[in-house]
This record gives sequence, C-alpha cells and structure tokens, in this order.
Amino acid sequence: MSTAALTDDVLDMLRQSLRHVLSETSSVAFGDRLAELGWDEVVADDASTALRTLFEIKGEMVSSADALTPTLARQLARLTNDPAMANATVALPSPYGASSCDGDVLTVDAVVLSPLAATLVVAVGDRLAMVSTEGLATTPMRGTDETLGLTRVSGTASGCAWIHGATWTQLETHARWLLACELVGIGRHVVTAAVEYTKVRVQYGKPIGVFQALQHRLASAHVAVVGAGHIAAEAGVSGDAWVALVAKCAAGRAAEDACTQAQQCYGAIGFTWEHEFHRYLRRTYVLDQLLGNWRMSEHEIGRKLQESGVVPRIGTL
Amino acid sequence: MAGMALSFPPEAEAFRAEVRVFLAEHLPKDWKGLGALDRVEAKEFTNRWRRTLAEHGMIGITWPKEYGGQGRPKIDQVVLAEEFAWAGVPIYRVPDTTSVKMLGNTLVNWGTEDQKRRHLPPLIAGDTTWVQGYSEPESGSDLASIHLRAVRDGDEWVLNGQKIWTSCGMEGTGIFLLARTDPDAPQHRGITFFLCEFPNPGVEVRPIKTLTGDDEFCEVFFTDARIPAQNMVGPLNDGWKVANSLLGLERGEEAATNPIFFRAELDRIVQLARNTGKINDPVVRDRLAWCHMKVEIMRFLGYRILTQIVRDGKIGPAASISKLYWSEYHQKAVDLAMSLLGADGMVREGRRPNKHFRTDEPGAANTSNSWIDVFLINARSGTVYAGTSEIQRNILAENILGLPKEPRPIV
Repeated sequence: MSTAALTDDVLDMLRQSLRHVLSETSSVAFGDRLAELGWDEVVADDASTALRTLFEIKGEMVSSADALTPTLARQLARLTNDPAMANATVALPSPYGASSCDGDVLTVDAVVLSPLAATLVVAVGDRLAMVSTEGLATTPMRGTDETLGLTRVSGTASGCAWIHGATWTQLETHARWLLACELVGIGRHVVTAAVEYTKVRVQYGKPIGVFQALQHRLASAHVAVVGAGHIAAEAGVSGDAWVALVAKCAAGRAAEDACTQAQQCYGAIGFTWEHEFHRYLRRTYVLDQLLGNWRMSEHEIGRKLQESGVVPRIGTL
Repeated sequence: MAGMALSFPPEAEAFRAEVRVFLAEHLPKDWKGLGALDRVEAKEFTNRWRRTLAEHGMIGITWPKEYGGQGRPKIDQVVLAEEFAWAGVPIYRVPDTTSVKMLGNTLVNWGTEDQKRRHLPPLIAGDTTWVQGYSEPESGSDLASIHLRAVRDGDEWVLNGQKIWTSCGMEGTGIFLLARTDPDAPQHRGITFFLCEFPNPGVEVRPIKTLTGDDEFCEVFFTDARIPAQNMVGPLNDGWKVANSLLGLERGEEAATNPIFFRAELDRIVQLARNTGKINDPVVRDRLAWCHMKVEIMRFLGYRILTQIVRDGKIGPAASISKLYWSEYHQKAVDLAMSLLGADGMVREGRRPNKHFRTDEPGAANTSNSWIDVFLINARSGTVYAGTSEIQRNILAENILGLPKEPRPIV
C-alpha cells in the first residue's frame, strides 16, 4: 500500500468540508463545488484516499449529488492529458443496449447521472467516443430511487470522434471502485444507525440490542461491510480492473445484507416514509445495478477464474 | 402422492362443489385475476364483488344464522378461501381482514348477545369497517406491555393513550383495541378488549406514509375518549386471552391459501426468467429450484395445519413454523424476481399492487411496478408484521423444542 499523503488532521477537515458540500442543495454542479474546495489539489496529493473518502461519505449521507460524473471526467482528463475532458459528461452503459459507431455517426444508448454537458463521452466496445450532446434525447429513469437523476440518453449524432489514450475498461475500473466505496459508506451507515436504534428501543424492559437474535444480525452485517471496505480501499490503491470488479461485487452484497439485517431490527418504523432507512435501501439497489450487480459480478468472477485457471492474489499482504 | 393427500370431510367437499358453482355463475367471463385490473378498477370490482358475496351468504359463513351467518363448520371457510384463491378472486376487501376475519370471529367467540346482534350483520353487509388497535409506540413485539389506559367512569370507559401501525385506519368506522385496565396486575392479566366506534370526539386518526408513499397504516390518538361500558368484549382483565384466540384464527385460511398464492407468484418468477432470457443461467435455475422446493413444502406445512384444524378445531404453536417459513421464503423469492429484473427494476412500469402484504394478486403483469412494491414492502415486512421472525423462533424454541426461556426482566 502507498503511504497516504493526507494526514489525519487534513483528512478530518476534508471530511467536514465534504459533509457540508454534500448536504447543501446548490444549483452549482457538484464538480464545480468540488473545484471551489480545491479538490483537485487534494486528489493530486493522494487520489485513492481522497476519492474513497468522498464516495464513502456520499454513501453514508445517501447524498444525491452526482460525484461520479465529474470524477470520471477528471480521470479521463488525466489519462488523456486533455484538461477539456474534465468538463465532459461521461456516460455509463445503458442496460437496454450498446452504443455503436458507423463512420462519424454515433448511435447512442447510455445512462447519465447529471444534466448533459456540451460533450458526451460513451463507450463503444472498449473504445471511447465523444460527441456533441445537441440533438440527443434524454428520458428520466424514474423508479426505485427517484432522487438519483438517472437519465437514459439515446439518439444519433454525427461528428463523433474517438478518444485516444484511454479505454472504457480504465474508466469502468475507476467507476466500479468509486461505487464500491459509496456502497461501503451506505453499509457502514446502515449498520451504525441500526446499532444506535437497538440501543434505545426498549422491549421487554430492555434495549432490544441485548437480544442475541439482533446482535448476531448486526454483527454479521458489520463483518460483511468491513471486509468489503478493505477490498474497496485496495481497489483504489491498485487501480486494477480485477480488484475493482471484486470490490464492487463485495460492496453490493454487503450493503444489501446490511439493509436486510437493519430493516429487521427496525421493525415497523423501517417501513415508513419518514424514517431515513428506505432511502438507503433504494440507493443500494440502484447502485448495485450500475456496472453489473453483485450476483452478475459473482458470475463474471467465477467465469474468469475458470477461464484463466489462476486465482489472482489481491493486495501485497 | 396418495399418502399425504389431505382429505376434507365429505360435507366440506360438498360445500366446495357449491362454491365452484357460485364462482362459475358470478365471476366475470374471461376472469384473469384481480391483478389484471388497475388500482381503480380493482377497487370498484372488489366493492361490487363484496356486495354479491354478502347477498349470497358467502361472508361470515361459519357464524350462527341468527346473526346473519350460515352456521357452517369452520373448515368450510378454509374451503371457500382455497377455492377463491384458485380462482384469483378475493374473499372480501383488504380491511375486512381485521373487520370480518378478526373482529367478527372474536365476537362470535366472546361477544355478548347484544354485541353479536349489533355488530355481526353490518360486518357481513360491509357497512362497518373495524381496524385493529394493538401495537403502541413502545409496545411492538412486547405487546403485553401496552400502556393505553381504560378507566371506568359510571356507564363509560375513558381511554387515554396511543395506538400505532393500524392498517387501513383511515377507512375504519371503528377500532377494536387492547387497553390496560389494571396497572397493578401482572402485565398479561391487566388488559381488556374494547370496541370504540368512530367518530369519537376523543379520537384522532393520522395516516403514516409507508416507504412506498402510500397511506397504508395509521396512528390513533385517544384523549379522554369515552366509550359505553357495553363495548367491553370478553371478561374484564382477560383481553390478552381474547386477543390471542383471534391471532390463532389468522393462520387457518393462510395454511390453505399461501401455497396457492406463492405458487402462482413462482409461476410469474419463472415466466420472468424466460422473458429476460435468464432461464438458462445455472444460478437462476438453482434459485428457482430452491423456490420450487420451498413452495411445495409450504403446501405440506399447510396440510399439517389444516389437518390439525379438522381434527382438533384449533392450531397449535406449529402456526409459527408456517409464519416463519412463508415470510422468510418470500423475501428470497422476491430478491430473485428483482435480480431477474436487474436494471429494469430501476424504472417503474405498469400497474402497482393493490395490497401491501404477501404476493401481488393473481393475474398481475410481470412489470417492474408489481415487483418493486412487493420487494420494498410486501416481502420485507412479512418477517416483521404479525409477530417478527425473532418472536416466531422464540415461540418455536420455547414451546415446541422445550428450550429454556430467554431471560426476561420480571415486570
């Protein structure tokens, strides 16, 4: 593991500022708010710690700010040495179809989390293409998590150009790692909040947390989340596609498990709108779906292990 | 499977034939199940259907004839519920679960002559809707600790306190409730069962929004709410026994209908696996096979309970096996449906379910809205309502396995 350049003091301050920025409802795009914070310098110092912290806190707060799109755009700018890329909208693959390119005509089917910037970057196979967003249709994907601003982008645009120096696999690896961190943040908060609840909710004259039936549920969830957190951290340090796949898979599974165990501890209050829990449950489902849910990822991991006949070692322990 | 087939008494089979004739005569042609209708249509249909049932003596069939019932044996209600479930048509409206099934049967067992005459006929007609006031903010699993106080004042009882998680509270014309009448007695012995009609100037009902955004349940506040002394059901300070006899009744029909509903739901999940092209995925097949085994075992658990009802007229602690079994199964089955939907589960499409417990209704389309709601509330709440899985396991451990009781404070 690389030594984190960010000291504990700096990290604490950073956490505070991030909590503040993630809680405000600002019309300024989240990427610009990060820039105001001097975020790019922090990332330059220690990208893996800074980004992991941002996405974990975002998960803990179940914030709807879109941190993923600007972070992927900045990563693309770094990979291509093209600062202009930092302002593009990087799209995720659509669950309904793939984008394709014929000459300079790009047929787009993709998903975005923010309103479109002037330039859209989409994956065509493992290559990246960019195109003007003018004339592309957007359809909000409303459903399980209404607060995410998930939008499908589709249509045909001419004047598309290939991006050199970066591949979709590189961006996907980055995104999987970030989503894993966010899911870990969710899982951590869900377990912590449920633990607090079981300390104060009294039945049979005792806090319900004294009952082993609930203790064991929360202990299992905690183990899953902590484990996923370690792999997610390693995915950031290594930047490796395999580790990112494993991390996203473990984090999705852990967050889902945390939600299931916590909801049982909450009893009826966990089924109300006013209690925060359902926002975490919804968010978990949607984030798990992005770039392959944990069940599909387990499949993929198994298939690759079988194909290669080699079990990769994760980390340098 | 000759060895394990449940045989109903010949009289019950004769009644089954009658029910089938009734359904053939009265169900609309090409009936596909309530799930094939949208929310508004389903509500209109159910209201019409319920009137037809009342007119033809299909509600409260086990109640004595002098109160509007048909005087049939208890097993006939199970037969009726089973046949209606096969047909994909409800046996009454959702709030009738507390009105007809719970309060009606309780009054038949415990009510005074006057209470039976006053309340049973309008329950059959559907003119009254009674909701349940058991849980309180501080009394969920530990129900016997309720605080809502009832104090006698002349010919009246005065109620003060709060109830919560009252399903269909906004539709209620009255609430049946448990109140503390002797604070000095041991918890279980100081509780009495009462009826409180609405409107009552001392009662306020407020909806609680569920995580699906619906006004499914309510909280009910009592501030010096006065009810007539004759609204006490069963003996003073014996409400715990009254309430428990009622909770037992909840399980009988379920034993017959659960396997039908869950099997129909599993058919939809298999269809979903085909529609999404995931049917050949070995992991999906593995999970489908698991579901199949569970649903079939559920039938046998149901048979076992029905056999007990036929033989002994009541259900023992085995009811906890059934509750635990179907509720834990349902979460895994619906998780499977959601993972089959995959990204489609992020986008709402199609009609939403009409009810927020158990499965969506037969005939429901395999669209995401059906499954998202069932995932968010029906399946996940199943291990909480009507006794959490933890409580069911405690009952099993203590009453069936004979394990020592979990240490509890003496109160």
